[in-house]
Amino acid sequence: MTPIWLRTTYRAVELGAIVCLLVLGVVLLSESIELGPGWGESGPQPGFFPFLLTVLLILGALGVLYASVYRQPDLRPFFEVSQEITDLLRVGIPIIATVIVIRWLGLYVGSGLYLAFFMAWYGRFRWYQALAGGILLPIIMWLTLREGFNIPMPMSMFYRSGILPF
Amino acid sequence: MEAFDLLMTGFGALMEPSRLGFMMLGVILGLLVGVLPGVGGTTGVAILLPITVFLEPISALIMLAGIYWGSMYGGLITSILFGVPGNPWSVAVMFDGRPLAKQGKAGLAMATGFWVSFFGAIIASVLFTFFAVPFAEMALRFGPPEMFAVLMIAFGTFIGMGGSPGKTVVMIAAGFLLSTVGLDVVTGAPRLTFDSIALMQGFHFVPITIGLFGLGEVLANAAERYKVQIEEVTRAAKLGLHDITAGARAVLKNFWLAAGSALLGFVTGILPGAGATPASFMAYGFAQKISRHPERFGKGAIEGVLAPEAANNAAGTGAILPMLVLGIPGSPTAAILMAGVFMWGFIPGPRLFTEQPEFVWGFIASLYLANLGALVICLTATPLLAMMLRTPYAILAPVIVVLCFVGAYAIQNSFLDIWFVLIFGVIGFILRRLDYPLAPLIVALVLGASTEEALRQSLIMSDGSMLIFFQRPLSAPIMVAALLLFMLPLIQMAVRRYRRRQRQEASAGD
Repeated sequence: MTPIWLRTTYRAVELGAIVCLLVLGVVLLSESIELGPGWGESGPQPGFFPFLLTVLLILGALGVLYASVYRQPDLRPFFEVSQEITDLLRVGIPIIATVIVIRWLGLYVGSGLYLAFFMAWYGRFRWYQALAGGILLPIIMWLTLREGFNIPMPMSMFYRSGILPF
Repeated sequence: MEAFDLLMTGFGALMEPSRLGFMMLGVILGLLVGVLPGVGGTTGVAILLPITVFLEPISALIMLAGIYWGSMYGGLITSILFGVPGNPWSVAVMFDGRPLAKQGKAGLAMATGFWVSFFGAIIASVLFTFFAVPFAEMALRFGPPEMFAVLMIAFGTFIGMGGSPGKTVVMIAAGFLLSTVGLDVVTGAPRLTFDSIALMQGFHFVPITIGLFGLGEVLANAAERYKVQIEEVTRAAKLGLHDITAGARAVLKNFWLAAGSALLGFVTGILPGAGATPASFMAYGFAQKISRHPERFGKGAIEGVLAPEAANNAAGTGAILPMLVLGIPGSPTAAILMAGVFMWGFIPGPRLFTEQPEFVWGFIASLYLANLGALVICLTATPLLAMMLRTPYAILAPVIVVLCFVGAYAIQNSFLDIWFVLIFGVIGFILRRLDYPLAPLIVALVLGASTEEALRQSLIMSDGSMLIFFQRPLSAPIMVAALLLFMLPLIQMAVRRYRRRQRQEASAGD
């Protein structure tokens, strides 16, 4: 028996996307009706344009529903082999973790940790190569962003208290 | 000869070492971006946009445009060598470029591609030079209804020429809706913010573009890594002197095909909404149709490399014209460039030509020089560029991801934008997998405010009657053309039904 994530077809994912779009459409529709979808004293009311577009969005979604769920359903599996899912997660989860780390440790430390971790874990580099990468990347970024163009980047929680310069 | 004099002013403006330096930097970055898997030209331009705020406008524009041109040349290399198109507009060149590479003629295919790209781009640049002023003069007579009609042409083209019309409509509407989030420009009322203060300033399009194109592509590549193996083909990436001369000769031998494809590309590029990708496919079909040996196509016909490459480079150049003249970009990359023009303090439109001649003509002059630079680098340094492909994935992917975050944060120093990159990256991955077109969303997002303004102003002029678009001499034909484009999928469907019924009746009559 193939696991459920390999049996999920394109049609199922397509259907899921349409359901999301339709829910979004209903929310936006009520919001734009509240704003006033019609004609005000001095021209179209603020809700006029969003209302028109939401109707368009819903019509488009229904069109896709007809074409790719009912008329020509694509019954191929969304993921062909489980390798695809593991690869996706192995690349994706460190990215999410990095965003959280950047929140606390700042961009420079966060990206260095991310590169070093990814090199050692995914790329099977030796630990000193990964360490070198993790130190070099923030230094290059510091030189171009901070020294070169003076563009502010997210800093660590120690930056504001003056403990660290980054 | 007015255009010629103005062009000379443009060259004069370019003859400053720092400007030439930024232009070449852009071209080189573009070549890298085009060669490396996982970053396309659009992402490259979007990531670097925030940095250009710190440059003077001419350097900024020609550097970003240089990335665009460079990525067009770079995408060719990966398409031919590995069958992995770095950009959507490099797909058509793969049909015959890849078989040529398998026959051991990769050098010839690449050299021909580079020469013809240059040829197409130069033809388009000449057309650009002489059409720009008449175009701008015509655009000066446009009022809000005309602007709205031209905008409708842009979106009509997306629907008429794209894949699934339903999906294109969804993406256009989504782009526009994203652009309406925030304070209403006319009444100042907060719209679609759901009482969240963070959403009050609205969505900036840069984090969304970087998410959809940059991170989305990283994720899509990650899921497909098990299929692609970059073998030791990198060694085949040698360009001998022999290949270079043979490539030039191939272009001269098919001079008219190349010139025709370039012209086709330029016209397609000007059409707002069409851009380089459909141009390359159309030119490929055109070359096959007029060829005396159509059966050789797909098996390594040099014409199959020539035509799409000439067309896509010409279209890329053409797509900038409506962006500068009307403020209506023809492709996502042109849309980002236009946002840049706003950020540097200029307003794209016909007045730009009279008020900022140095800026406009400096850019037009850079079309010639940047393409020359890209050609020279490609002919001499292709092995070096192909070496870049050997960069281990475990280094490349994190660096791209970090650059995505840097670009998104720098635009308005908001951490929320980094989350948006992440969210839209996941959305982009799913949409890419389901074949939703991403370009209409970006163009709609960038054009949202001006489209709404044009529509509102027109309706205020007519006191609420939609008929105004059909009553003015300039807007009426444009609007009718736009409506026809919108209807194109329906018309095609009706024709197909009619033919099928006729065939059935014919077979029933036998």
